Amino acid sequence: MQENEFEKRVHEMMKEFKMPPSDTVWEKVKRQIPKQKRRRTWIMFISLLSVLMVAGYFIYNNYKGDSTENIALKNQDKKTKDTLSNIKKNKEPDIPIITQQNDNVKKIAQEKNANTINQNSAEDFVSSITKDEQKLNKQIDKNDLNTPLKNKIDVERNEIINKVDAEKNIINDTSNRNAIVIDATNEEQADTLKKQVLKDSVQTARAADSKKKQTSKSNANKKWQFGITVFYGRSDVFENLLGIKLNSAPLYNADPTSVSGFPRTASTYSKDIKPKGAFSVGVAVKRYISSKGNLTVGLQYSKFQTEIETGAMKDSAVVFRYNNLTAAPAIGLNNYYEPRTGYLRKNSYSFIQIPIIYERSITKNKLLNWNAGASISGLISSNAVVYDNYNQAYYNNNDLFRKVQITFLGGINTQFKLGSTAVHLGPQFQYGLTNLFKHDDYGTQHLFSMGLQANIFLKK
Amino acid sequence: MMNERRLVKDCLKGLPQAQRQLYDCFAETMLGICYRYTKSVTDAEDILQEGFIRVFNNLHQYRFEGELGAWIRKVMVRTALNYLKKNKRYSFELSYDEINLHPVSVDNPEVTLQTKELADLIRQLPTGYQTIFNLYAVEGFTHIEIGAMLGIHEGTSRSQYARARALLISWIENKNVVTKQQYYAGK
Repeated sequence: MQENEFEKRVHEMMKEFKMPPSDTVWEKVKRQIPKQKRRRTWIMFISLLSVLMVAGYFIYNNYKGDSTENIALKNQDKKTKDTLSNIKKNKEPDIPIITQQNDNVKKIAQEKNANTINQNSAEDFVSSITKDEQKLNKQIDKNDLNTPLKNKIDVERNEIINKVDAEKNIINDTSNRNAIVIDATNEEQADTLKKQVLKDSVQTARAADSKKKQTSKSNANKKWQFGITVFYGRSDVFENLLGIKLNSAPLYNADPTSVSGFPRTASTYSKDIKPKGAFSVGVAVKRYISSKGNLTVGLQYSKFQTEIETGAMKDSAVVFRYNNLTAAPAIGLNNYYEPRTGYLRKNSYSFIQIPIIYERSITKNKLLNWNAGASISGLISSNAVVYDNYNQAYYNNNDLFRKVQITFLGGINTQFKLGSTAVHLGPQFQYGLTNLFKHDDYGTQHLFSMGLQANIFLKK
Repeated sequence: MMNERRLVKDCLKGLPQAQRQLYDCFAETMLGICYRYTKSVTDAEDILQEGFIRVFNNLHQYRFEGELGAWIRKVMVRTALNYLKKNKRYSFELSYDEINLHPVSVDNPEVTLQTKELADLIRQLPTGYQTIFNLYAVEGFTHIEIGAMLGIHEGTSRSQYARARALLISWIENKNVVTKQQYYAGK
């Protein structure tokens, strides 16, 4: 044998040396390795999107507010300049000279001059406001709120409000400038007059605004709004409302004949069931039934999924009666899954749902709403396997499931406008009030799902 | 390998089926490696478990350069070496000094043993010899690499290997599996 021949031989032999590990190794490894990330990424993406949309809504609104304010400020500046220019024309620069205490003649002349300016300005202002007010009132009285006219009213109302605000500031400025020359009595009278006029004008404008809003809202409330609804999240199966899996140890290794208590009184069906993805898509109509509350009725397709770990599939023609219960229907199977572990199966339940949900605003601007309701659902298909403890097998038998389910729905959402649509976006959950199984003897399972719901309503 | 690439990508996504498949593909071979470095099956399975957790946690570092099996093998070997260092039962024997060295033989015997018998013979070697023999003769590392991995001089690795080899050959020649206790009792 040549040099290194020994090493080569050892290397070859050891390369092929294999040993089967015990089952417990994988169980321990599985618990400590990274879980599936794909769906988490989706949920993260949707959450991020919703946060961005809400943030965008706020920013957009703030920007709009700033713009209006800027226009008003510009108008105010312009009018202030005009007024100051008028004051100058009326020999306002003489004011500092008049302030000399000893020059009585000049003082009298200045007082007279200032009063004249002030009086003229107030009269002009009152006349202007009165005209605008009369014009607006005429339009409101006619109650002719066709769209072009409504728009016109809007524009005019905004103009009046801006004008009033600007005039208020101008008068304040002017008053300050004239303070040194105006007689106290005259100042008070002029101020009182101006304030009264301003107050009346603002009230008139606000009343018009309110009247228009109410008319518009009452028209909108009477209409049904059509929309689409989308839900994405996770679903699970609970044995009771709190999801506590009572008596959940499966009797995999027990000899069926030695398992006492058949028909079983305690369920083990939820053991090893893990949450998986769920989604719903459908259409909905919404109608306001009060200023803050609305009713939404929908029609949607929903798919709920869970995961269950089974043993290997066994190809064998058998007839099973679930847990050997006389009430349970017998089913002929070509294959079934053995108990124990190693194979992951997705259980899916497809429903047609009719949800009826009442939604109410928490905040004045309807930015945040809560909702609660119920849905009636019809199970249209399922591939879910159930664990038959008597026959020691997992298999699908849809005859064991209750076909009509009543579900409780609840959640909160934020409402915002997106172009011509109103979007309601927020977390939503569902809990099956009825047992997924037809009879309690079969066990207790309630479907639960939680995720993000988006309702998009088209505005008319 | 196309399927191997797909499998790795699915494991990186965290798909449980893919993770199980990868484990099933390599677990037996890797336990064979772990078995050669330890004195008991339980310890070998502990290393296998720790090694696979490392594999799944560091799978993103695998760049599809070379076979996946070779990459996993490297991870297992390093896990085994760490295990030996950390575990007192092994670290006590894991000395590479020149005291109590075994006689050297330069024979090249015909290896007619079964794979399992050979693996068991390797496991009979003192831990230091066993480790260096596995690293050099089976894994194919050079003495320089072994020196760096174990923190010993290259020459020490050479001499330890020579003695481990000689001891193993003597056992093979006798075709008599001497247990470690019996061997030392005989001395």
